[in-house]
Amino acid sequence: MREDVVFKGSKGGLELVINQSVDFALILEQLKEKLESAAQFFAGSTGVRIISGTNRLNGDERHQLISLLADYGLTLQEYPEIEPSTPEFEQAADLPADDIPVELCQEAEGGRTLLVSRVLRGGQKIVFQGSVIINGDVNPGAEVIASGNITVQGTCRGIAHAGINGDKTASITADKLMASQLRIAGLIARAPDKQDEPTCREVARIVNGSVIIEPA
Amino acid sequence: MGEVIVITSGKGGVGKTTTTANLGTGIALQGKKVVLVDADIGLRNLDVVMGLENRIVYDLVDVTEGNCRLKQALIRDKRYETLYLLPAAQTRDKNAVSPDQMQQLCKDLAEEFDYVIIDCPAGIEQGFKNAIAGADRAIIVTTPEVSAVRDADRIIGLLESEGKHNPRLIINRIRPLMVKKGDMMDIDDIIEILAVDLIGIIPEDEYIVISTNRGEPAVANNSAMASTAYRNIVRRVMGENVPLMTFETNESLWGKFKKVLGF
Repeated sequence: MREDVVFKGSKGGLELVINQSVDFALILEQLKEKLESAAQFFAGSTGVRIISGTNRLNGDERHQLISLLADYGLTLQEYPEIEPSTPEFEQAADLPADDIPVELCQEAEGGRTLLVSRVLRGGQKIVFQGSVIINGDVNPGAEVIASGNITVQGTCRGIAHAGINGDKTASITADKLMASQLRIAGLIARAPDKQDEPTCREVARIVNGSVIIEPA
Repeated sequence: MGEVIVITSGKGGVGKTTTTANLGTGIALQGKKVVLVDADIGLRNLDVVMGLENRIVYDLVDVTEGNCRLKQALIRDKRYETLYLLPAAQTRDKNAVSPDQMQQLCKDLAEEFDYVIIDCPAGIEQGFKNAIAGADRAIIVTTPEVSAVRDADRIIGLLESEGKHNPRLIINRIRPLMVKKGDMMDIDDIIEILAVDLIGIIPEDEYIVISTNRGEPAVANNSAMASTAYRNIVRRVMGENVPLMTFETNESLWGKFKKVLGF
């Protein structure tokens, strides 16, 4: 059998090289066989990079490829067609050292989500192109800045800025939304000086040009 | 051209931020235009004590780095029209600002305001150097403890080496009963060691804890002892000659202080 799909190991991790001249269905079939026959080998690795020559794949083919890889516990990284550059990773590198221990994962929709499983303390700041989920509290003086939505599975007492690139549909959700400031796109809402503890999970979003908070 | 005053101490926890908030509020109550500058970058507190935390959009570092204009970063107090706050950055550190930048900032602020009051961080490193860079005069805060007095002495020396002479002294959290029993340092002991002019004594007062937690400076309260003490310091800072305080409730105890200080 001809090898139209080849896995290569490199410094950056696994690379997938695809023969462009072959029908995509055939490629998928070969890829599936390869993954099947070496499932043990791939078990430890999580990321795969596709190198040059895959630009001709259309959106549908891309999705098939992604889901096939996902079946074997692999994720596609650095897809040049979707993301010409990778600002997320550059952003992450800019963060202070104590802000680094975070996981990166990819949403099925193509947007990126950052999952932070710890308490964000005063003076700590997370800046991310995509959505952010905080599995913990955001304490006073901490900042969460995201181009997408922000979700806090805990109490949000710091500053949350969603839709930093101007996305007015972005929202901020928290189990206890007690942020000192909520910023969505270009709007800023500050907490009242005497704040009561919320009794339910709440979401903040822009409605008719102002930030409103309602039960989520 | 306004006056730039730095509130400093060397030791932490002696009451620099509380003093800054109360002095500033007190001067503003006299109708003067005052700006409080939080120079404690990375560990800001003054905004919390003033109850203005939720209004911060830009901070001192944004100003020095040119991310915003000075006026955009100034927060007007929610109670007093002539009182403003320039908050510190919380997600940066002391090295984000240089003494030269602080000097320029103080100069710019002094053109707009009658008084620029700078809350200095504890320690003698970069943050201290930044805070004192643009100051015309200094007020040292100490408590009647050997360690705080030792640090105050060091600070006075450092200020002198920066060409800032004749700082004034505030002795904070004094407990008249303990002094009387000989369990706490006496005011004249402290003055003897530090050899600087006393500008006020603040008694230990539970109301300070209450007001700090509420975000409302104590000076505006009429009844608390510490409030009266701060109001007197305000008048002295503004050039009035006010005798050192006596407390009606503690007249016999404070009589000793009066005698010591020659009033």
